[in-house]
Amino acid sequence: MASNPFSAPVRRGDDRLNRALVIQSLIGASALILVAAPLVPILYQSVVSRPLYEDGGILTLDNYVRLFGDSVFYSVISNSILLALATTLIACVLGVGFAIFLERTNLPFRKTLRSIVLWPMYVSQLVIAFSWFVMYGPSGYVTLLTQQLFGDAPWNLYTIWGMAAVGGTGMAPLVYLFCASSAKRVDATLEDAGRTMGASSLRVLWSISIPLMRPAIIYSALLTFISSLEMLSVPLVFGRPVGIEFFTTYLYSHGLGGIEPDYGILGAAAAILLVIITILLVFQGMLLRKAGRFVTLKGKAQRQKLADLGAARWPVFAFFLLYNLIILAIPLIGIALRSVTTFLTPLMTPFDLLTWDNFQLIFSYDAYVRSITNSLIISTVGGAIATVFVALVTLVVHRSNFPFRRHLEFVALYPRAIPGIVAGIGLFWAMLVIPGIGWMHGTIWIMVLAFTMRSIPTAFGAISPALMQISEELDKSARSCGADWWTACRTIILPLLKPAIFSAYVLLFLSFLKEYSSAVFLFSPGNEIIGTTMLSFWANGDTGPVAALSVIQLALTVIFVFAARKILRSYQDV
Amino acid sequence: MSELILENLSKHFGDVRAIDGINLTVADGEFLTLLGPSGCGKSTTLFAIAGLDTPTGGVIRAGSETFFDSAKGILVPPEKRNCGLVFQSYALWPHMTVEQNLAFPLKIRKVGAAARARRIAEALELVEMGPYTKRYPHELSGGQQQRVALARTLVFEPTLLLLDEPLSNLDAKLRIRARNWLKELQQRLKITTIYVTHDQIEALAMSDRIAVMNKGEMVQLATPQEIYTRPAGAFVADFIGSSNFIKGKMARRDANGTAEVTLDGGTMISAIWAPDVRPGSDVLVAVRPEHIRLAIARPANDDYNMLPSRITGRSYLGARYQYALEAAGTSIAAETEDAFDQAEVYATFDRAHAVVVLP
Repeated sequence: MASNPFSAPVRRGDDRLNRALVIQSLIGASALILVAAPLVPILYQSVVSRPLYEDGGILTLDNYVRLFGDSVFYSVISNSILLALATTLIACVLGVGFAIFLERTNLPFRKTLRSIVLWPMYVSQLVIAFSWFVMYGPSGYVTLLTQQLFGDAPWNLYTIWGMAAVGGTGMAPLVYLFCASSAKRVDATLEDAGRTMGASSLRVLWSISIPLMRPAIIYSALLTFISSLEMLSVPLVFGRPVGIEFFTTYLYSHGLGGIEPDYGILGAAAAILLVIITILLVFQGMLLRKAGRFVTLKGKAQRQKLADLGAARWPVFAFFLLYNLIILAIPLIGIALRSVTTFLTPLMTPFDLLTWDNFQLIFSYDAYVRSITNSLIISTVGGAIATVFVALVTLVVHRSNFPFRRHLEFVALYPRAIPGIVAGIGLFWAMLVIPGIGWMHGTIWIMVLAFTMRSIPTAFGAISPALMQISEELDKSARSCGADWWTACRTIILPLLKPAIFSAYVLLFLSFLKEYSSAVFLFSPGNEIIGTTMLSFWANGDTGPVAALSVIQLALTVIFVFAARKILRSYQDV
Repeated sequence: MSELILENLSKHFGDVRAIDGINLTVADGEFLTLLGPSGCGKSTTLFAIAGLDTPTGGVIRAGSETFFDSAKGILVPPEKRNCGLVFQSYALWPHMTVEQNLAFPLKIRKVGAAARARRIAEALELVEMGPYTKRYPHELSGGQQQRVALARTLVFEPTLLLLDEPLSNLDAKLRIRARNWLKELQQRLKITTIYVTHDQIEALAMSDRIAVMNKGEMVQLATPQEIYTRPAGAFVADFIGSSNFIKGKMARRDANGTAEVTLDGGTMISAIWAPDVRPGSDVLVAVRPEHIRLAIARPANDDYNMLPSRITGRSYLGARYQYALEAAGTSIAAETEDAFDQAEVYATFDRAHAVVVLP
């Protein structure tokens, strides 16, 4: 055999300083800096006596003392928790119900209904809030119509339960996704055992199937609770006008409301929100680990029996249609109508009020057009950058000898604990104090940075399972064939990971297009996005342009989803 | 030139010893098998040689090059070791054709396009896969994939050929053919080969020497014949084939290793080989079921070891019967073609088939 052609250039004992380690360290450090960038300024500001960009501040707990001395803050906490509880309750009842009816019963057209109940996930929470306002708000079309017909409309969205209805119906699809797989896994023999003891099929559902889904239900309940704490749009649209303050609106008004924001209070409030959510996430992590023990995963596909709804089949089906009509179709039709009318009222037919003014207004001002192009660039280019970055992080975590890879996984998943508005405040402050990144102020790149940071867990979660399905022997064999770590990643793993990376890109594109909460502190003339422009119009009471922008955002989403599906399908054909 | 030396190779995680002080010298061109049950450390040893697993102590040297030396802090990464490793799953890259799979290691070694094409053709010819260059791995059968995986390692002329249970995913008939073919190829190329398997038949049929491993330690290193006829302990005797173990005390041992053992009932057993232990020590006589003959009448020939036995059970294996016997206070198994109806029989076996092992 030929002698080893590599024996000469090998540097003995010096392999720690190789290309792999350099690349891995760069990726790890970037992720750490990205996640720490908004956190450090907030935590620092919360314990310093002056605005963080001023010299001479001293370390103090005074900010926290002042925050808790403010009686408003107590109502902020209680409102936030009440809203989160109510939202979670609504989302879980709906989501678990969907899971059971769509996965475990003989409901007609289950396949179609399954995709319909997921639609709210594609729509921005901001657009959902605006469109509910247009139809079900105090002067909304449906509200006025009901008052006209029946004398009174029995709902009021300007209450905790009203807001919980808007938020909860929006988050129900998430609960459904988590519980669906669990509902599918419930072992039919356990249910059969119940049947043989004389229980009816609905009785079996209630006392056997649902308790077996408990881990998934608890897990998704915590997830919803956290998301409701972070929710900005719904409290902003329905809470603020009547003075019901929440964590997110409190930060919003204190940060953007006054001429001179109180940095200390802002820092302390943001820090407390961070701590609360971090604790909840730790708790959720512990539950998940525990859940693994009592969810019995058997390798073979289990036989499933569908409960017979009997005579209730069609009424339940009708309920599903009606539900989706009320929570999604009517609001979206409403906002679409609103976008092409001067105003919307049951007193006049909309065809008499038709106008293109709202769209013309948007397309005649550079700043408004720019917000659309910015959103598109951020979603397309930023989404791609973020996807590639997270794919690399995933490689380092799962497929390297990087000494800190377990820590890196924690860093990658931590942004789940950072609410959008907190990320925005933190990055805004980071730009003030970190030298060399001030140029980002007012550019779309600060948005790309913020959105990327926020989306690391999503993309990580989308790519990781696919990566772990690629046998490690494939890259190990490349290594023993002479490829170093990076060459093995580039030529073997990344090409095999392409479908998963593309799916992650679709997810990130959509979430970048929808994102607004981290942008409210970061935008200034030049880097406005659709969400911030909508909020500005909203603040001035211009509902028409808001509706037009909503329609534009929805149209972009629909086009992208259809294109992505087509591409994904062609991937699967290969 | 490409002799492989392992010195005191160890991998410990806390108290767990995945490999515990392996010393081994594999001669240039030798076919050496690491044999043992799962979890014995054989694959860990193989991956440590390839550089895909980092040992905690010891030295790995191939030819003039040191791959690993814990004392000197040397750890050569896998890509610089030029070892050809064939995985159990073959690990063919699914997004590349056969040709692209083989081209990969050559491109990394900056082999020019013309030379590359020639070497790929040669390697595929060697494994009789010439016509399949444009196929993707999923379009090949298991046996064909195994050959392509081998070609992919041979194409870059590795210093060592490392095989991790490469035949275990093939069906029984194909496995026998692949075994003969692989051995024949190895002898033709004279490449130093380390072969990992838990299949004793494969090990016996293919190897120049076998290293039997158990619980991270190498328990015997010898030729297949020696391993089979003179197992170095109860573990080896039982793992290679299967053995009956009859308790006794060492009576006498000659310089050439032949010995006599007194069983509990007083019966004397002659054995062809015994380890050097003091007379009176507790020992086991190992004898394989297929070497035991049964007879109704007491045999006259004193050259054979003989045990009066009682049949306690019988199962039909197709070609033979397997008997469960009660003899010298222990239960032993015997396999023979004859059917016996009576319970009392004489079990005999040649002294050449009896080996003394330590308990």
